[in-house]
Amino acid sequence: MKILHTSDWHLGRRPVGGVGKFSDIRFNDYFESARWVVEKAIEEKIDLILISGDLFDKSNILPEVFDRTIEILQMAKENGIKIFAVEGNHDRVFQSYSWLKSLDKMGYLKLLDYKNDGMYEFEGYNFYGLPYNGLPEEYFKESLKNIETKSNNIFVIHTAINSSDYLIPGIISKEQADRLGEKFDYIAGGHFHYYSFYPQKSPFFFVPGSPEYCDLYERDEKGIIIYDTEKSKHTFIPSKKRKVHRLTLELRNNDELLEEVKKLTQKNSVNEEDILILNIKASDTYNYISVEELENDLSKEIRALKIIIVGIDYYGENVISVSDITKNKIEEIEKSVITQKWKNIFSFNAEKTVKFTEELKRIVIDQRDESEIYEITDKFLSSLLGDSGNVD
Amino acid sequence: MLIKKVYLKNFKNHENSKFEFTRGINLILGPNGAGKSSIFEAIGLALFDVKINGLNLNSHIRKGEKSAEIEIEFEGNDGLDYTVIRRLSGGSSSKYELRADEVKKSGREIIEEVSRLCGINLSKPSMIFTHIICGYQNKLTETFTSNRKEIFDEIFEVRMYYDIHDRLRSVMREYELKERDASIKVEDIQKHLEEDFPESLLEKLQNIDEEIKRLYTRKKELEKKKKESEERYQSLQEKKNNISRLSERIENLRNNLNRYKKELENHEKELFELQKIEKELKIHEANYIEYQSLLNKKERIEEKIRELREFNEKKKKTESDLLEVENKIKSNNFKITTYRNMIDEKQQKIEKNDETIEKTEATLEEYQKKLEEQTKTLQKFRKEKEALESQKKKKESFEKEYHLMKNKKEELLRKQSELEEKEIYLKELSNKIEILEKSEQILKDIERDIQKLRFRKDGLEGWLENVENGICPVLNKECSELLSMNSENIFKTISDIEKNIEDKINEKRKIEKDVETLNHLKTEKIEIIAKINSLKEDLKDMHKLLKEEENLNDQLCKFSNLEEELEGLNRSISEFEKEIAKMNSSIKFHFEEINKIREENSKLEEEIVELRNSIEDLEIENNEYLKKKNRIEEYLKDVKEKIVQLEKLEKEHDQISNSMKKLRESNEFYNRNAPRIEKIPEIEHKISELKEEIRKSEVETHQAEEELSSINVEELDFDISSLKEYMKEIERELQSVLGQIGGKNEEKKTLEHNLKKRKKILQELENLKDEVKVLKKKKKLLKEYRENIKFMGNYIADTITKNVEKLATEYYRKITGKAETIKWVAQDSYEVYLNGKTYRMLSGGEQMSVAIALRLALAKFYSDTKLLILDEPTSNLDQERRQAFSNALDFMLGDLEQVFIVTHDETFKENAQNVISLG
Repeated sequence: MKILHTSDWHLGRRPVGGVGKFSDIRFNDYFESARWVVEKAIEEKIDLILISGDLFDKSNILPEVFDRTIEILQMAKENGIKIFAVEGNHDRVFQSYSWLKSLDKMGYLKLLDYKNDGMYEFEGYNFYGLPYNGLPEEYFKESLKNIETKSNNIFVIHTAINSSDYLIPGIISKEQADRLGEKFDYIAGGHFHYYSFYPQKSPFFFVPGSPEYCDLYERDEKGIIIYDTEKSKHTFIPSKKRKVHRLTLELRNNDELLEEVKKLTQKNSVNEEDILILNIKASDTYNYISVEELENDLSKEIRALKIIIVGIDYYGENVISVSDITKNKIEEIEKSVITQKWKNIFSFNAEKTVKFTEELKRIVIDQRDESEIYEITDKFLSSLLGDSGNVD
Repeated sequence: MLIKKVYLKNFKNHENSKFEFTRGINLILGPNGAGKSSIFEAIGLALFDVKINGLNLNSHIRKGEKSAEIEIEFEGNDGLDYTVIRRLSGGSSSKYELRADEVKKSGREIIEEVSRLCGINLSKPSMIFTHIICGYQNKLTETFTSNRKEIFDEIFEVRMYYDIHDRLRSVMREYELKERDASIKVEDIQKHLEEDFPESLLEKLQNIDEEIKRLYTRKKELEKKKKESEERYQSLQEKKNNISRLSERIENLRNNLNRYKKELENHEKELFELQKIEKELKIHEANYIEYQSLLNKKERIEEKIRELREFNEKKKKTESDLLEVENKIKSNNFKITTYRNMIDEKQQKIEKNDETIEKTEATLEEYQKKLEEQTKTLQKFRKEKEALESQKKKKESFEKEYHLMKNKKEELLRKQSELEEKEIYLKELSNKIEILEKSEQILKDIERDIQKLRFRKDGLEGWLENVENGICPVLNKECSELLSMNSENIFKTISDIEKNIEDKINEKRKIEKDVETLNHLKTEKIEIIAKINSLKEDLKDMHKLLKEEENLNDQLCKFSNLEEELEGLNRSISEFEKEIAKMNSSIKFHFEEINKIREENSKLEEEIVELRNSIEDLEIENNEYLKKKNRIEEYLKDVKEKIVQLEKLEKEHDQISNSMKKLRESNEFYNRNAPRIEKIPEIEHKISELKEEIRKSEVETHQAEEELSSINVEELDFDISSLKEYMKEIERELQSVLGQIGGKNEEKKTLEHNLKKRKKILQELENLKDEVKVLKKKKKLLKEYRENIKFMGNYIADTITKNVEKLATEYYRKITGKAETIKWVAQDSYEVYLNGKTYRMLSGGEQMSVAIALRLALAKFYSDTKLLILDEPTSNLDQERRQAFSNALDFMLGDLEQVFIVTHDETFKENAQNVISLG
């Protein structure tokens, strides 16, 4: 059997603000990406599509969204492709009736809910699915306790694995994932909007990512996963989505701003269909710029679907520029300091160094044993020296 | 995050309060002491474990109560609803609970879970809540004054890096210790290595190897010699063994010879005996033969007798079979007679039934005739009834017409009385008109009088004017007399005239009313006359109508007996119909009776046919039985003959038995001894064989004895003993060589072991040297890391403040509308400057605005809660700033999801999406 695993379509989404031409185009983009997924399924002769939650962006969608969703699901139905789905955090509010339930009743998809409806069998495989819950560790412990064997079991769930110390609601730890791995051959995850799998060797936990950018700051790979049950082999295919350019501009004075942006867009061949995300680095002595006004001025002169200025970083002698303020601030600043200021072996291993520092912090906070500090420090330094112990 | 509901039970001064909040601005209004701030203290305590002023938890429980409970419903950053419950009970213990859907989690560790659901991913959620999200009263500005270094160092985790630097010192010490240990070990090993395991060991090993090689060559030579002598010893030993084998053989041969001779003697004795028996057997032979032939005959007769006896036994069975067949025939015959009788009975019954049918059919015919007659009469009656009914219809139509006419007549009578009334009224009306027509004349007179009076009045007035001016109205000239004349009389006259006019006008008005009435009456009169005419017209037909009515009445009288006749007729018809129905049912009954009997007859006939068939079957069966009976009788006849034969044979058998008795002795002797003499040729053959064997053994014995005497035994023994001596010598030397090899190998092993040890120590030494090298590198790295990490906090604080101050400036400008710039310098103990002035130098209003701008900027840059709580933000603001702040609220909300403003100032009421009033 060939399974196409997809997730987080977020149909009905509009960018913040919610009105105007740009909003309408982006609204349409999500349907285009979803259509591409189903067309790919037809082309690849897929037997079954798994949607791991967040099919819709909201629990209360507009009639137009429902109608256009049905149009896309109908294509799969006409080509004899089954669809199994679960509810994500965006699809439902507790104790309410989600639109996915309606789609199930209308025969466009099968909504999996192991706790209420039990396991679902298809082509010799047992499909388990659960709707999203904010406290997944407790939730799985409670809901999955009766599943024991690992033979042709597939689990569909709107969750992902915690890959760093940065905590996000509704996700699980690696240990929890390992426990799930004992019960299931393939875990179809979601929630995160980028492609990932776990563990590196013979993986069983997969997240394909959202086909379209839900947030324009998303950078990693996103697409679909095709899983061949006979060969136990998975293949990742990047999805069709709007082109987004992320460019950085260093400014010395006000007058050159427009010319500089023009040059930059030409050099990077920014199309009028594309979105341009601009990060401006301005000198410390640079005059105060209003982001709002700047965006307006630029969109009059530059041909692009939308110009977004992420932020203006004022840099000077003593200012560290922070490139990404959407994640954990302190870790990001640490990373920037290590790369930009330390200028030593740690700068080449900034990510590792930040992680090591975070571990040290935890030990200091929890007031743990000295021996543990020695252990993690030695491990970290050894990893910097490499196997051969050479560092020169 | 979004706080949706807060329930407080026995928390501070809230006994049982419930608050619902919305997205956007939530305004909490109320006087001091109404419990506004305690709502947010409860939120801080339940969500982030924020201790209020470091007080004991017990002090938050309402006076007189034992426990308190805070329940907060919020929307997490994943868009789902969660509920956090914190219960405080006496003795400073408290319990946490977090719920999502039906899943529940409890324990202190949920504080971290809640923090991440709220978007705070840092180690100090309570600090973030206290100093960024929620500005309690006074603390809004306080955060940036007295303890700011401590606060922000803690929030930005600046000290943490010093701590890390310090804690890593122990690691450095560990590395140093390890390095020293390793170096000492290296020296120690190097010192002892040449003493214990010198390099010369290798040369020694080579020498021993050569020695061992040489010894192995000698060992091979000796082993070869040993093998050769062993082979020779083997062959000598073989020879010696041969001598003893020969003596043994001779002994064996002699024993055999004796055994053969004894055997021969026995056989010869047996042969002599058998030859004697052979002679005797010839005498008995004739008797034996006769006995055998008799025995054969006897056996044949016995066989026949057995056969015949079987027939005799079969006879008994056949006889019983015969009896059975005869019984069967008898029973069948009985059955046949019974069936025949039954058939007769049934036929009689049929005949009787036929008679009954004939009779019933005759009765039926009679009934039908009667029925026909009655039906005819009934039809006649029905025709009559139809005629009567049509007459009845006619009558009904007459009645209808009569009824209509009566109505018409009544209407006309009513109209006649109306006419009479109207005529009387007309007369009255005419009278009234006549009277009023007179008033019309009077009215004309009055009008004329008024005209006259007015004319006169006008004249008098003109006259009066002249008189007043002293002008004579007659002469139209000045008259001095007139001037003295009193004009009052004229006035009086004029007013009299005026009064007169007025009276006349009043009178006229009255009469005008009468004239108006007259006009009405005239119209009415015309109407009434018209009405009278129309009534008269209607009444013209009255006479004709009365005549018609009389006519109709006559007609109706004719039909007076009609209904009685119809009723009588109906009664007769229903009687007839009853009669006919009765008759029909009786006919039906008889028909059914006949049918029943006919059915019975056909059933009886069927039964008869069945019985006849049975009889036929029985007769056929009897025929079969008779045939069988004949066969059996035939057979029995045959059997009787055979029994006669049997008796004959039995007699013959007895005779043979007697003859055989006489011959039995000879027969037994022959039987016993005849086989024995058959052995004679065999014994004769054995005797000749034994004789040959004896001859051969004697020759062989002789040869062996000769061979034995030819060998020299002494010489052989000598050879063997000298060979043994030689072999012993070789063995001795071989043992000595082997011993030498073992010793040398032992020596070699020790040498090799020592060399291995040396190699291992050398490896260990190398490892230790490497370890020292790595430790040195690690020390260097660690030193570098420590040096750098120590100041990480400063960089972080610096970076955050520099980013936040830009954002804060933007907010400040929006809030105040002033183009001033905020600076926030981490290195300067987080001093806040506004256009160069330090925070303390700012006015209360400026401090508040800067504090709000900084908090907003921090909230945006530093946490994902999108929540801000401001407690009395306007307390120090003047009216202008207050308004500017209120105007900027919407702008602030652009980045935040929910803002709480606790205030007693109603300026914001318009901005708020939700207003909660307390107290």
